[in-house]
Amino acid sequence: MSKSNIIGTNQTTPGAMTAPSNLLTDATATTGLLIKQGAGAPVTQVPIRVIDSDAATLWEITNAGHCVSYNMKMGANYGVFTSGVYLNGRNSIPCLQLPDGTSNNGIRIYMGSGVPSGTTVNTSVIGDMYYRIDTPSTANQRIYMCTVAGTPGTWLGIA
Amino acid sequence: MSTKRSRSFISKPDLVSTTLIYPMTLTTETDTVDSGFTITTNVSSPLSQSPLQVQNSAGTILWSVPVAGGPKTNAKDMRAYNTAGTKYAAFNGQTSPQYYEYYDGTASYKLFSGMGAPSTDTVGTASTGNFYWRRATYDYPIMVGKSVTIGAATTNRWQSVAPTHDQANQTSENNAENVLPAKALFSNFKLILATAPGAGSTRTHTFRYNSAASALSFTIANPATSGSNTTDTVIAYPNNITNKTISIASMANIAPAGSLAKWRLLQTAPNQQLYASTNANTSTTAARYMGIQDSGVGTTSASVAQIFPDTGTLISFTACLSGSSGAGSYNLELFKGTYGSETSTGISFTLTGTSPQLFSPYETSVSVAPDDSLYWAITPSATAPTAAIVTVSMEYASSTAGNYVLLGGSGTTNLSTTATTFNNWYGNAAWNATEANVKALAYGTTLKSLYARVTSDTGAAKTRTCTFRINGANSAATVTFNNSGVTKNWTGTVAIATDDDINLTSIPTGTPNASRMIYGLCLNTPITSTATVYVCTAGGSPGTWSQIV
Repeated sequence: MSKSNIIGTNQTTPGAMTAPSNLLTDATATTGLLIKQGAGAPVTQVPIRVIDSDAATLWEITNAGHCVSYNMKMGANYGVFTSGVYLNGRNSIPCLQLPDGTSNNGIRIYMGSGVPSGTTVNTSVIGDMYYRIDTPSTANQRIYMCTVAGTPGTWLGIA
Repeated sequence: MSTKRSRSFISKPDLVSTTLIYPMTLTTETDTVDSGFTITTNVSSPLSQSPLQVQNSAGTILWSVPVAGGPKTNAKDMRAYNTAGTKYAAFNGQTSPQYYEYYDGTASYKLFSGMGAPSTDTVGTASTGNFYWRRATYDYPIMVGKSVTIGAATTNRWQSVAPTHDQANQTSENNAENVLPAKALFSNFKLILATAPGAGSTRTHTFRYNSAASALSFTIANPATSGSNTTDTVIAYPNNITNKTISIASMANIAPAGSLAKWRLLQTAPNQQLYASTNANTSTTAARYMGIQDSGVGTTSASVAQIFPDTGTLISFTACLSGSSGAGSYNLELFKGTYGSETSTGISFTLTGTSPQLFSPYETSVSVAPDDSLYWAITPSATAPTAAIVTVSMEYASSTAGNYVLLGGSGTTNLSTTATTFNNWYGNAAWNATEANVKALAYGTTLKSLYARVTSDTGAAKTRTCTFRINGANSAATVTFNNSGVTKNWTGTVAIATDDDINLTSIPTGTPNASRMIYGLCLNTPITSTATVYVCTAGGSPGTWSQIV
């Protein structure tokens, strides 16, 4: 048997579980640690979830395969990664945020319908960009750039 | 790990048995503030092992964390929700193509990027208002001249994409295939024969992708002596699971007349790609060496090292084998430095199978400058591996937009000390006495520099001249060794027109000392496509797109 199910074997009081995920370590060259959803698990159950001490969900892999969190950073703002690109969901309008080389304050890219507004962009800084979907044939109503910071700030149609 | 119950690992810092081959270590931190829960891969784990994987109950991989390339979804997405959980920004990893997505609670907005104008390959089925960022690309010509008869059989015979002039026709496609380091578009395939196929004979020449024929193909029917395909294109992708490779194949309907051939191909991409392959099974017991733009190996690094003629960076190092290495493996390592004193760059692979390996961290680059000498060293493990062909590639990103390089050398064979000889590039091959044998078929480009090195200086009152020739005539690009140093270079501008014949010549005077020569040429190709932005004005596959920047 190439895999060892380590759930239970190291727990003092396993108790009765209806559909436990399995935590497997693999003796093959393909997978180091495998988290496998238990047979019979309901579709609403996520195979893995990380929560903080306040019981808030930080990150999870849904049964549908989506990798979900409130921010998804490629690189991080600590350690050797001082400027990452990330999906920024911290505020009411999620966006793509690019690195600026030194911090997490790179430009943010929004998408939406209509001119940039409080419902399509967050508090903006100069250089943020907005891709507008509803008027693709109208010049200067397709891509906007923030020229004055604010909420939503001043935005100039550039293409 | 059941979501039904909470478990504490605090008292069990190592949950994994030590009897397994590659046991992971699960640690809950008790004395630091860095991490609540840590998964540590085993020190002996192979690079191909993903430290963490998540599956559903059916065994479908939902998500994995490989050693290289970052966490991956399985054709799904990575979402960042707003605090209300109603909207999200996502990197959407659907099968193809992938895109950035913003979902506002009712509709999705997509942002694609890629090479070339929006197509089904780069945007799939798009909707009005989708955007597309087009990367800047260049046409990098692959210009080949052959001193051996091109495939003259009724079954396919193969050549590497950047072969030496004397590379034999390969009867196995494995021997000729080059692994891809990055996505590229291939086009403008043209081949000229020295001899027509013969009565009743036709020759078919095909660009092969992933061991299959592509549309980039043409047939030369007797009495014609040339053929081309300037309409079809092939978009080729690297793949870290399957062996995505490229090669050239030649086949005839009946045995054709033997013929030399020269051919060219365009590789369109943001960066030039440099290919190298052992072209045959490498030694399972002894180290072998090859250049970075080469086909075949040498037994010494000095016989294959190539000098660089330009300033830039090497990136996207990718390598694989033609088959499993069995119980052993091959170590592949890139060396760079002054010729004869090269040191490891830190770019190394442990190759065990056909799945291409992308060097990790993937963003690693190696800077190069004129006169740098580079080569790959291939070392079999102490436990002899199963015989296999090693193929490796990389991208070259010049500091000067559009610059690219051609790298060659004379291998182990000394140049003639008395006769004029000829050569082209792509690896290490002996200089040839007949210019027609090595003339390569050009595409419009500009030669900017020629760097050359001899392994022994000429001796007093003797010279050796190396000159770039166009259509059988000397160009201004020339260097002369005259006992004043083993390195020489020329910089300037020499225009090369499409369909020109191009090659190098070596002319000795006064019987110079026996020596080999290595050389690097830097050329420039104009930008094919500037970076720009498109918007979709009518949905479809790919829909109607308008360039707006």
